[in-house]
Amino acid sequence: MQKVFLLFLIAILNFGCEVAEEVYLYDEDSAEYDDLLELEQEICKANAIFTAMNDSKAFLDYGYDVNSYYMIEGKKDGDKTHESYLKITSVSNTVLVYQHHCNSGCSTVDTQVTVTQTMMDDFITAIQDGVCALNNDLRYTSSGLSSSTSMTFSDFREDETLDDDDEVIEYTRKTDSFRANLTYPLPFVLYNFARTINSKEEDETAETDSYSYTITEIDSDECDDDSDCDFSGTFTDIDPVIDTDAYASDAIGSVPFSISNFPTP
Amino acid sequence: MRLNIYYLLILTLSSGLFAKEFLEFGEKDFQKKIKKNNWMVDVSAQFMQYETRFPEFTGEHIKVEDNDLYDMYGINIAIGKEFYFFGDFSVGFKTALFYNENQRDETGKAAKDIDIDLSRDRTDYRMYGAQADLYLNYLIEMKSINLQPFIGTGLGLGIAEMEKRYTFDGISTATPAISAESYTADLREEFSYINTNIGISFISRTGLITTLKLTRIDTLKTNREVEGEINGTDFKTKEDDLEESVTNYMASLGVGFFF
Repeated sequence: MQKVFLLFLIAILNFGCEVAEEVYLYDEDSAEYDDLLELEQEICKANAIFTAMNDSKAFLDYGYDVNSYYMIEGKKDGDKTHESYLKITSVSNTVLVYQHHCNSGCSTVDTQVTVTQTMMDDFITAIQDGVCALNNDLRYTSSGLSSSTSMTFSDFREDETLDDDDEVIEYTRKTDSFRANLTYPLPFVLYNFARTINSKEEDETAETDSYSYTITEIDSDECDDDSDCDFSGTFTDIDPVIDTDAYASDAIGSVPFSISNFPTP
Repeated sequence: MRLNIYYLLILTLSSGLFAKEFLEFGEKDFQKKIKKNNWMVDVSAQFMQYETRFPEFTGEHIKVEDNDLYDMYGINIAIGKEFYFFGDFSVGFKTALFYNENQRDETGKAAKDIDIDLSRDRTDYRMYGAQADLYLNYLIEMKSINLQPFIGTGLGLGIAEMEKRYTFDGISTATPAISAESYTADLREEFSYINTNIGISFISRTGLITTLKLTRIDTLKTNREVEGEINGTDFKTKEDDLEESVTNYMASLGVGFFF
């Protein structure tokens, strides 16, 4: 009985009386609802990752170094299918130039990209407007917005064919998951993503193909004229294609950014 | 505060629980000694509604009334003695310390599908004090348990402290913009009270007591201090020699033992 008494005592002392609850202040019928959606978009765009992206436009101040080397590795369903290399060749506060050396799967072995602040603005807009778009939750999902170094976001699209009974008989569903890592220049997101394609043709079984491209910084010692990481050639200028309105398009082939000469599916 | 109560409790009970000369808690032949003017100690869980007044405020999503009731939960620790003076009738004296508290924390989300915390409304309240009670008991001895209905009255002194914090971030994207709001108030009241209560104790044959009690509390508030800010404007009021009467009710459930 002593135990009963003491347990009762302890139960009283530990009795948590705090009432914590959440309430919704407005609903879809409220006059303020559209204003709140705009506010949500404003708050989204003010997240730390977007501030950091804008800061990273000052390439030199942000710490991107000339003669930094990176390796891109591509895989399909877990098997390695691609390997190529990047090298930063020039950095000022307003312009960053990098070269891409691609031994296999590319139409041109050596290409060069000049990244301007205007191009950076387009990259940031393509990500920010998509991730923070109003009523766009199904297409774009994201994580890491409060981080100042990295974030991921996924772009989902689908194309379906229906029969007379509105049953889906054919479909293609594509998800691109981009990883923006600001320890590397933002355009390197072009080489740091995964793509999953689920498809089914009429009277066929469903198929899933998974592709993955990752980029990692490597030591300059790994790159010389005799290695696969050979930057002694002549480089042809190319530019990424950045579609700042991609999120608003329903087309299955629409992507926020892409670059030619890269063997993506 | 909770740690202080643990400490106080251990100090209070240690002598009673472990002193050799006391009737040992849970003694098998307690029934024979039930009318031997025993000491008792008990601890109760209690619920009450405390009435007080914060400065009035009407905001976008809050309305602070001039007079409002606040639910409180707490603990009452008492020590006392019973005196049998006529057959099964006894009187009991008890002195007690009490501590009641509660918190209420409400987060206002923009909407079900818009995950923005727009407002926060938090109230913390606590009261503590001491009281002395006098009971008239009647013992009904039964085969397996004893019943002891009682009525009682008492006097007490206490202090209530309450803090209210409300913020609303506003909607800057509205046309016109809906302004941000803030309300902060720290309130402190001193009071005395007279209570009257009725209840019943279940006393086991080994001396364990379980008590149910309903109490009416007639409170006289003697002074009140409130300070804080409303939308950036500070305020501070102090009311001495306040003679504000309120009546509250309390329910409690306690366990204790004779020694």
